[in-house]
Parts: sequence; C-alpha cells; structure tokens
Amino acid sequence: MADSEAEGARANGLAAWPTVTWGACGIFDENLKIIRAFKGRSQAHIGGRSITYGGSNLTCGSDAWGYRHIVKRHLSQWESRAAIAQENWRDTADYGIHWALSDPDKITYRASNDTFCYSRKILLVDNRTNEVVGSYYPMVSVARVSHRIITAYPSGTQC
Amino acid sequence: MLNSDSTPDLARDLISRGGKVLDHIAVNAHEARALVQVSSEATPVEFVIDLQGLERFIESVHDNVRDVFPDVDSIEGGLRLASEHLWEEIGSAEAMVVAVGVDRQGQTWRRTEPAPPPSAPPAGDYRWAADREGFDSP
Repeated sequence: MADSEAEGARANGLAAWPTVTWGACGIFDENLKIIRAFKGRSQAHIGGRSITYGGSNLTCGSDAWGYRHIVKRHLSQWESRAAIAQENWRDTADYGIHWALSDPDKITYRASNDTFCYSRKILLVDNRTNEVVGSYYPMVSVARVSHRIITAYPSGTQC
Repeated sequence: MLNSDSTPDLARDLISRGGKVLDHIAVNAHEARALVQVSSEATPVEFVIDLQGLERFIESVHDNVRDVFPDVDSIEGGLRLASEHLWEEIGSAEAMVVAVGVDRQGQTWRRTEPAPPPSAPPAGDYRWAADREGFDSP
C-alpha cells in the first residue's frame, strides 16, 4: 500500500483530516492496488441492507471504476474545484471523499446496484473575509459487499 | 460471452435501475428507450441504450467487474456498473439533464439543457472547508 500520511491537517478548524499522498497507478499496476485507504466510513442501514463502520479503499481499478475511472471521467471536474483553492486535484478530491465517507450529510442505498451513495456539503471560504462564497457536494459510490469505491465526483446536489 | 438475444432484456433491466419508468420501455433492433423519473424532485430523464453498445460495455468489464461485485456474475456486475455510470452522468452535470444513454461504443453520454454561465468566484484566496458551523452562508 502506498498511503503516506503527512504531518498536519488543513487549517480550517478540523483536525481529523490527515493530508495523505495518493499512491501512483502505472499502466502495469494491478487493478486492486490500493492508492488510498479511507478509514472511518460511516455505517448505514437502509432498505434492509447494511454497510458496517469501517474503511473503503480507492484502488487503481479500471476505466469503469476506481481511480482510473475517476481520472478518465471526472478529472476536469475535480481540477476546476482544485484550481479555485490553488490545490492539487488529488488533495481536493481526497478532502471531499474523506468527509463524505466519514461524516456524510446524506447516504442513500441503490438496491438494484447494491451500492451506497455518500455525499457531504463542502464550503468554499474566502480566507480574507472568512465568508462562505460557494459550495459543492462530493458524491462517493461504494459497493456494499466489497466496500470498494466505484467512483467519486463533485456534484451540485446531494445523493 | 453475451447472448445477443438477451440484450434487449438487459437494456430493459438497465433502464429500470434508473428509477420509475413512465409509460413503457420501447425496444427496436438497435436500442431501448424510455422516460424515467429518477427522483421525486427532478424532471424525467430519457434513457437511450444502444444494444450493441451495452454488449460492448458488459464484455469490456467482464474480466474485472467481480473485483467490485464479487457476489454476482459478470453480466449482473456489468449492468450495475453501467447503471452507476448513468447515475454519474446525471449527478455530475452542471445543467439539467434531459437524456442519458449508452452509445454504440459502450460509452455513457448525457444531453443537458443549456448550461448556466460559470459561477466561479473571482480570483482570490480561498479554501474548501467541511465545517458545519462558524460561517455565514451565501
């Protein structure tokens, strides 16, 4: 596993988000290589189905799921959010995914796909005035049985 | 490998996963389509599934879909992934989505109403914050 937890947390009053550098996914890396292990995913019990408290891994995956899918389909969306705060897109995505999974505003269960959707409002704060000037909702889809992250993208709505 | 005879049924299944089908699912030799109420708040979305494209998609994920859905066969897993992709098309759009689908190449697509002008804030010093309190909402 390539997780490396660096010192410190984002200076926003929340101490529970460790800045984590995602591992790399090379062309020859296996689909199941873990590039980020998100710990503390909230439990849920919806529609008779449960997902326990625990972790969800972001693995390299393929064009259809996981990190490679996120890069293929949602890179520009994450990059545009990251640019506003002058961040690397992975840091912006990591922050959003972390909070959506660990302290979600909303969790829904898609019975037909056996997946849980986690979302959480993230605020855009002007550092000079400390006023909120915008927001978005990171949306994270997790498979119930494997706990793997299928996709994660910024959205204008909750799950 | 997929039996092409079953593809129309798979397309019907995929559309049904999107929400409440209004009226019925129309199927011809090339595609399946239906108007679907994806949520109680949103206006209905037209789902258009190219049958050949759906076969291509399911076959393209055959080798690794059980990494995500280990408890089902690869066809059911492929349908689940295709459905998740259609949900993504709706959830990640900047404007109201009027149609989504799977094209001949097996890629998902969406059609939206004209997008509103970008609402990015002026250049400045900003941060993303998950705090629930302590800020004035815009």
